[in-house]
Amino acid sequence: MHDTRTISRTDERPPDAAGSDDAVAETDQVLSPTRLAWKSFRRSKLGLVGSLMVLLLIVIAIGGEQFSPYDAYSMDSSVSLEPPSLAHPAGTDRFGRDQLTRLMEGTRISMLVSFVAVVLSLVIGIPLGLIAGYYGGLAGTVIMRGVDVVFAFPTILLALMLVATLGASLPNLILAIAVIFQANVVRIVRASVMSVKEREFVEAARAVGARDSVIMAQFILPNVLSPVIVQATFHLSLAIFIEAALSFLGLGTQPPTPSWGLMLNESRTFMEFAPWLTIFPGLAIIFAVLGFNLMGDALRDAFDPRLSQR
Amino acid sequence: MLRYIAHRLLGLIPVLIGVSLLVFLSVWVIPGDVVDIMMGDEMAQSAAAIERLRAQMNLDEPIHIRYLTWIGNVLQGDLGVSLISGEPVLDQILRRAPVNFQLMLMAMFFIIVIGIPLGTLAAYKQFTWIDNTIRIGAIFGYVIPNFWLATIAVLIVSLYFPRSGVLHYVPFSEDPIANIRGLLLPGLVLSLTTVTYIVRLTRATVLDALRQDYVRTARAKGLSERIVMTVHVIPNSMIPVATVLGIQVGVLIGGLVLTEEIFMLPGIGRMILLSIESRDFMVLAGSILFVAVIFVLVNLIIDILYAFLDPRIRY
Repeated sequence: MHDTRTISRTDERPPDAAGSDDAVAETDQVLSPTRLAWKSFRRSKLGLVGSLMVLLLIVIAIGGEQFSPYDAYSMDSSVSLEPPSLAHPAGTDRFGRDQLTRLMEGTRISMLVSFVAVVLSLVIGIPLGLIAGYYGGLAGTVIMRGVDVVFAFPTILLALMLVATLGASLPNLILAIAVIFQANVVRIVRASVMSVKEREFVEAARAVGARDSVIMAQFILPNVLSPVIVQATFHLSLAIFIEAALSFLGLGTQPPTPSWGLMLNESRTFMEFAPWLTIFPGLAIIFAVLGFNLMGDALRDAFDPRLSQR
Repeated sequence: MLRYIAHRLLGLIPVLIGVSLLVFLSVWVIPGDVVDIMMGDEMAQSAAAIERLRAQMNLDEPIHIRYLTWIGNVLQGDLGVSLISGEPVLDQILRRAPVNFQLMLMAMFFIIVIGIPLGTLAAYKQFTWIDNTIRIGAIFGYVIPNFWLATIAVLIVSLYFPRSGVLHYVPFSEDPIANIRGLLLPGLVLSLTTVTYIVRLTRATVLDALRQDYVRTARAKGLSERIVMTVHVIPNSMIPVATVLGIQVGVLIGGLVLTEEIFMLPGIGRMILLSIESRDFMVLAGSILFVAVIFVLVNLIIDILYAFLDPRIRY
């Protein structure tokens, strides 16, 4: 047996497998941990379902209302508050706007908020986590105290406070979510860096005189990415939830922009005559959160096989 | 143990300073000149509000003096007075806190009586249809946004059971039974996300315990399944569950704002929302600081209890 832990880059066949038939070569092949994880991820059925759901959301987010004959913003009072029908599969709202079209526009908002916030949290959190884990010292202490402070607030409450004081708008909402998530990213990166930095290959790199920046970028970062990717996937679903919750409270997306949470909030006035306005945005949120969660579960199991054996 | 507690208490100090700084900076500094904002706001145009604001904020002082003055007052139990009503913020918080406390207790009750039995049952019947149903239910329960579920619950009750009284909040002192009836649905909705989490966790820890040698021994010496489960399996699988229950208190505190808003409960969550709407910064800063400090203390107590419950942990 080859020890997969010691081989990180190569995906070449061992010499004895060369020339034998492909099926045998496949099983003998030495796989890098990343490729092993990828193989395991592809085998997970729930992970596949989740990925397809996410793919569908991304397609809708990019295409937006182009997939619909209606416009998400133009009002038509002649079809106000119509129940679901063939012409309007998810009914119409108070202003006669087609709800399915607005939900598709809302997908764009949700995806935008979650992806930008998560990317921003990685851009802030990864370098801070690397510094805190690699150097420690005063800088590390200061960074980790900052992280502790973020963790001292219940998530929704901190988002609420930041948005309320910065002003309720989409960019501020994204910023608030990113600030909250980066604390988690810092924690995860720091913990992984601390376990990786004492390993032989890092010492070897240091011994041949590599600069700290090179060691961090080439030897440490690749080895801490997998837990970060898993966490980022869960953050995507959490961001969708936070955006919906704050928009529901009137502190996120502002009208007339269709966001799932805002649509839910607006629907409350007509809930008794037009329940479809309440039901469908909720289903959209469930769909998105479920998709990202299934994907995250499968990724976590793939990167950490110990957990999936339960 | 005492050393551990002392160590944790000391570690609390920088966190609490950081928390108060973050609240101070975001509430008092980022909005620019607060008085300008207040002047532009119809709700607060009264001269009295501006007078209260000026008096409390020492706007002419440099920023660090303003922070020190504020935090000094806070440490003496003075969170300032509301800019709108002139009522002390702490009085307002203490008047509303019982609602939150009751709601948390209610949610905890549902989490324990629903989550732990279902999780144990799923583990005991692993890979049967019962287990599968519970697991699928737990996944869905986890992804359903609780504010959506709450909205649907309000809709169903107001359409089909308008006279049931479950949507009507009554203070405990007026009518205890009506009070509990009014908190049933909010408590249930608030507990949902955590219930599903506890189901999954309990299932995992019970499965773990079921595979231990001492369980095999207990069965081998002829103990009934009932005794095996209640004496050997369940108590041993509860330590991680108890810890997570504590951590979930934070999730519940965060969920209060949404729950109170939907069910119109007069708790601290609604107070925070109202203070944002009316730009009552004194109330906003005071109540968020209050909740954050409670949250930090609860987490500390959980950590200490955990070290106490599980003697294997040494610090």
